[in-house]
Amino acid sequence: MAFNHWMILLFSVWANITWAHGESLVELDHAPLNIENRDQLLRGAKHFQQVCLTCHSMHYLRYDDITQEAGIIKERMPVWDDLSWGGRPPPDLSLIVKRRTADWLYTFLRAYYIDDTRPTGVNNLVWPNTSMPNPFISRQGTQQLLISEAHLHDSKGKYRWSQVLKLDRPGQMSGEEFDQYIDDIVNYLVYAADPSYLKREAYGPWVIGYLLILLFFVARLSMSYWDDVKRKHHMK
Amino acid sequence: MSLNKWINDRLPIDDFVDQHLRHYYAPKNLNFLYFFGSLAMLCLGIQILSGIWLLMYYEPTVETAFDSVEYLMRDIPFGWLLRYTHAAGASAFFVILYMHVYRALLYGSYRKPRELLWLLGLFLLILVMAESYTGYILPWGQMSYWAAKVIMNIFGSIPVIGPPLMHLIQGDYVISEATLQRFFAFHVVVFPMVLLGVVFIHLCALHTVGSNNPDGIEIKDNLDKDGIPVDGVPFHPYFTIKDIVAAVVFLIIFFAVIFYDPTFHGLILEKENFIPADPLVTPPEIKPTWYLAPYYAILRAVPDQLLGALAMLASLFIFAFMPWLDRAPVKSMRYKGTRSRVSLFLFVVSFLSLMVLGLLPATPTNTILARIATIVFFGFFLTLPYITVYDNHKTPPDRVRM
Amino acid sequence: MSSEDVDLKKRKFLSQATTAIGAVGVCGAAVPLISYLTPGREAQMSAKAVEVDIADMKEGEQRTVVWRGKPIWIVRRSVAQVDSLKKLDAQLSDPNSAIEQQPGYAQNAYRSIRPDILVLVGVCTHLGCAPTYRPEPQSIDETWPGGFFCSCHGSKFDMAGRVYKGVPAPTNLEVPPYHFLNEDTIVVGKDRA
Repeated sequence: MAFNHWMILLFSVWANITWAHGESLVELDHAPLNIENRDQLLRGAKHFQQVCLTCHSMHYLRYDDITQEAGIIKERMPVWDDLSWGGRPPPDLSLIVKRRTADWLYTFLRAYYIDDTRPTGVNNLVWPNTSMPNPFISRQGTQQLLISEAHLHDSKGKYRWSQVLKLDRPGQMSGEEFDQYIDDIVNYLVYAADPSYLKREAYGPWVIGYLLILLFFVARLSMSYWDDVKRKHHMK
Repeated sequence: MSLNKWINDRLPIDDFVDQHLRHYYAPKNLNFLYFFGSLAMLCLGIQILSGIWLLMYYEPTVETAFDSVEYLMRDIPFGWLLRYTHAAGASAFFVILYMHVYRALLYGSYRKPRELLWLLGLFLLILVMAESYTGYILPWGQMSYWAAKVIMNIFGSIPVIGPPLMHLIQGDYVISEATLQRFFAFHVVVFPMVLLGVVFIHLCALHTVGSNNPDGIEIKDNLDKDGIPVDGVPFHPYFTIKDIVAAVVFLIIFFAVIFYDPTFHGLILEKENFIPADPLVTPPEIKPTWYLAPYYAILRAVPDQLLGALAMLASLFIFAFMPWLDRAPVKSMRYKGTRSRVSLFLFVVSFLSLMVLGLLPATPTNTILARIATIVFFGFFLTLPYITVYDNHKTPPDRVRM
Repeated sequence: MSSEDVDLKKRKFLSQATTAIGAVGVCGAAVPLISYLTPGREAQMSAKAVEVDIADMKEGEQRTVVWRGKPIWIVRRSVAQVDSLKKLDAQLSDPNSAIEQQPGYAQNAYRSIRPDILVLVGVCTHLGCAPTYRPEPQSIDETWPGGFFCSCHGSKFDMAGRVYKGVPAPTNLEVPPYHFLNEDTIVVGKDRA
């Protein structure tokens, strides 16, 4: 709805001023968000169930139909001890978008490259030295870093990930397919972090529209009363 | 005999309404800055109502606090709306209160005979700060926990009585479930009750001395033959309807934020507060909420821990001396001289700068800027007795302008 | 003078319109506040149907499952127990299940879809106590043929949950909606689609 787009634009001006990119070595891509699209959310939920649910839980999303339909149920969620994984177990992902951002995740999940010095064999441009292995290697293929790491650190935030990474062994998916695949997951994660998003957007125009109508009448009534006062004031 | 008469013979509702609404005269030249008093009451009402509703699902224990908030936001019908309303309501409350205080500074509303009204207002401001601070810990996110810890350490830095005082407030040697539960008790019972009582006294005091106005002259000095101020209009219907217009405008902005940007990019709800509290991991940067940031910036600007804490306290309590520091022959900034105007302008700039600096990391540049702003902040109060005497004030008119 | 009259008319209209629109707003604001008080999503989920496997139940065996937070009894009645139902009509207050305490498909002599399988809500219709299953004849009094007994206030029900005369409980025990998915599986909480 046009009204909603304007409202979001209004607030996103502020977002661009305040948003910090953190530790990322590259500029973040803009994640195409399309939360209203239920089919895409369900696709994302199914990808999540196939890949992410192996290590990550979705603790706060238990009772909504999309999550249930995708088979992400409480009984199948992994539970990690605090001390497992060297004290850094894979985090719950229900609120990950609130901590990171959709853009961060969208770029992070595609910016892995081969790095034999890492225990996982891969490194990441958005989250350098992450302990998370690349779960999409069979789908995306493997990528090589084109410039030296030192150069990368010096030019922090100057490049985009696709400018400094090169696909050297293709995976099962084409580039576009994989972008869409990751975007599906990111959309689902955005939804998961705040399922009220859809409802807020649906109620917003009605509530604000109602208040504008009320404002019209209240303001006219107020002016009608204050005309008395103004007339008397100028008579004297 | 009507029911109305039966009740009024026993409880003077009509008399009360007459006395405080129909026959309470407010200056007819009040401008938009005078809306913020009634808006503050609206905000208090919104907070109390949404707070009671949140209370029905919130569980104040370390294990369940965070989860119960997420649960009510996701699985309870309209839980998200109430939670966002309560969180955004806290920020809106402070926007309104700061505008309310600015209005008083601009038009000299703290001057005789309104000194007590001003002091009660300052007490209310501090109560609302205590209310928001105790409320902020309740979701038990990372920022709740660490912000509480930082403030507790400020208490702990007081010599001799500091550590025992800190332990008394916390109820433990660290921030723990005992702290969470007593903050809960203060947030939902003690502070709101005191707040409502003091709001009532604040209004009693207001209705005794009457509203000041942008011209800073007393409307009670100009009475007609019936003893009614010629420049006053009955509060009802003239100001009730005007206040309702202001309330609707406020609600439009308020709900636009709630529906389209409820966390306001971290100013209303910080990103870090969506991680459950972890006493072992400090977030990369601990920020206060924006409305407490100016005081936090003052705390950080002073190189000594104890003096910093004292400066922070002083930055609040120094407002209490305003009625006696301002010695100008006129109340309103409309008729004050250039020096007074520049002085207030610098004060507002320093307050806003401190607010921004309090939210930024303490880099060397930021620290120097915060020190300058702190000096300007206190300089406003300390130079006021001289500036207001040696200034080219104008003579206010006999009657209000409209 | 005439212009002021028009003004007052207009003001009256505006103030009535404002009051009406404001009242709509108050009602609108009440909607989220009241919906908030209705059972949450988790409660809705627990209201979902429950599947019960009855393959391993022996004759005379009783089993309890939970649906909407209430105990649901499932009993596999023996032929003797089913036969006992026919002789009791005179002692019961509603032998033909005239009062709607069961879905239409259970309004019969056995108060069930299949004569051998009984499904009941295990909550006494008197004050909500939980009666107990007492299949042994003569265990409550000399003429007791077996049934359900509520020890709270002494209400007695037969092997179809029908209430005896002269006890505090006013009506028969409730039969929840249910259907058979197959020979050995009952779905409690949902009529056949």
